[in-house]
Amino acid sequence: MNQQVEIILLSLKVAFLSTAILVPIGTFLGWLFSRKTFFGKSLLEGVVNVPLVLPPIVTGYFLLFALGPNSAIGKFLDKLGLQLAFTWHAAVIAAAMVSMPLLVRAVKVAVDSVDDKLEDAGRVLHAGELHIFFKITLPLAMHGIIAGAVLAFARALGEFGATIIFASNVPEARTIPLAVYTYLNQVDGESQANILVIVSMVLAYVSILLNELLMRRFKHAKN
Amino acid sequence: MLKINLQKKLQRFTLELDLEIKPAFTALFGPSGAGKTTSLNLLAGLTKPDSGKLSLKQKQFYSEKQKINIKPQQRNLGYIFQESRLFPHMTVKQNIEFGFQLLTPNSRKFSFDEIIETTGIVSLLERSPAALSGGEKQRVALARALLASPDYLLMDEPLASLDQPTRLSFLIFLKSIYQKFNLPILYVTHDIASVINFADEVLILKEGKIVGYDKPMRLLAQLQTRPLAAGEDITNIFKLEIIRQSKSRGITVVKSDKLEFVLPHLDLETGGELLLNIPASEIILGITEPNGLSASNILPGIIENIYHLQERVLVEVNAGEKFTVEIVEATVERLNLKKGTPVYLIIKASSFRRLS
Repeated sequence: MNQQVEIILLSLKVAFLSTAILVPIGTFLGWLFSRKTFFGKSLLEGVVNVPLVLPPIVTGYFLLFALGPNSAIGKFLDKLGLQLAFTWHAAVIAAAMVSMPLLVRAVKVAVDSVDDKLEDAGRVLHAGELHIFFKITLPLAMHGIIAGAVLAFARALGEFGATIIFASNVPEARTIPLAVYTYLNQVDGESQANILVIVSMVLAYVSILLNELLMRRFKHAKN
Repeated sequence: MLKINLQKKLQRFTLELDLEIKPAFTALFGPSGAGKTTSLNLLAGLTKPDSGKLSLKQKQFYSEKQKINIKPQQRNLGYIFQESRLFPHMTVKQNIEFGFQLLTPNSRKFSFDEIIETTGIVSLLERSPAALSGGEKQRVALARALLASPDYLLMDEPLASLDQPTRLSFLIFLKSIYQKFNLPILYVTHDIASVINFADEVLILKEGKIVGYDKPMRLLAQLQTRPLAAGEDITNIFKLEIIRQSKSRGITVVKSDKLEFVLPHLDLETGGELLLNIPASEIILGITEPNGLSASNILPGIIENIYHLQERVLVEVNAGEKFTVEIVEATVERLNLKKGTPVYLIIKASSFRRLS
């Protein structure tokens, strides 16, 4: 039982951290895709969105390729005495990578729905672009951003494929899905897995409910 | 002095503005799709022109040659939009403080209290924009723009969605703002009848080109097309003070700066202010002093100008205050009316329309 509690806490920690890292990046990217046109935009949008449909194992493999011990970044980190791959930090990065498209898409829709004429009204009132973003665009898109963050959090909790490749099934990175997988590979592991299965169903259901609620409030606030 | 020489290719035509606008209350008039809003956006810096130059007084806003394009934030132009564009997630107070707070105290032209008093929004400060009426929204938008200390006010048909009495009283108020703060206004509209009493000058924009720039009445007379649709009557508007009233005799006496009028009894507080409008077509014009008429207001005056608008004629009469009277061509001939002819204006008490 103690072991299960630790697994749940680790899962929550990984999901919270990955979401926390993701929110500023995803908000910026969503805003960028909604408001700006620039060279290479479609390409960048494709790269950000592709983990949505790519097998997570492939995303994990790319992460290992780019940040693993044999990569340039991995070698550089190694010199500093640091390691990313096969640690719980890798689980955070894998979860962030896979849930990013969900957040970016939600932010893009939310920012699209903010009337850019209000931003022009801000401009003639002396407001610089940053001020406009933080005082006008962001507050008006906030419900959508939070709804996207909740969805990204839920996706991070359920992340398996990219994590098992990039973090591998080491105990310090054993989140709920990896633990369920591990227990089911053991003789008589079902009873231990069942508790985690129930917890993950409850967490997933609550997250989806919260997301729905926020989206409804967002639509309501718009009208 | 606003010096404009800007070109911008639009879908149906190229907008080519080439003029200098004196600092005044200027109306920019034109049919829908003539490029009015785009013109304002070009001035404000919200739309980038293809080429040309733009400057206000000594400040260069745009120059294609010198590669100057001052951002809207630094142009110091107030802009009142057609749809008010109040920030929906802020209260009225937060809205009007938005631009004000971004200025250093030294660069603020007006005090906060002065503006909320003048625009009459003191009681609205804690409300949300969604809870305001159309007229209130535009007054808040005006307060917000004024508190940002503009050098010039651009207004894009801010009254299009309001009914005529609200529109006329807002225009009166706008004129007082213009006079009080000496703030030039460029006012875009497709309803020339409303602004004729207020604008010092009128610009006419057609298919992206300025085709006229003159005093409103003179321009109205020059217009090729019939400018006034039904219901868009030329009117005379006065701000009046109630000085006496008698219920038994059924009258209320009011005065402007120079004249007194007799109205039907209104049952209002003596000393109160009243906004009235007299349609130009409701005033009777005589060349001899009339006797034995039931009309309560007979005012001597002198014809200052006669404008011919096809079969309609607008006569400007100075009778202490300026009046516009609408008659027909036949009357001009029959009475031999000319500039300088002494006349009498006859206004029935029931011809006054109340605006406030």
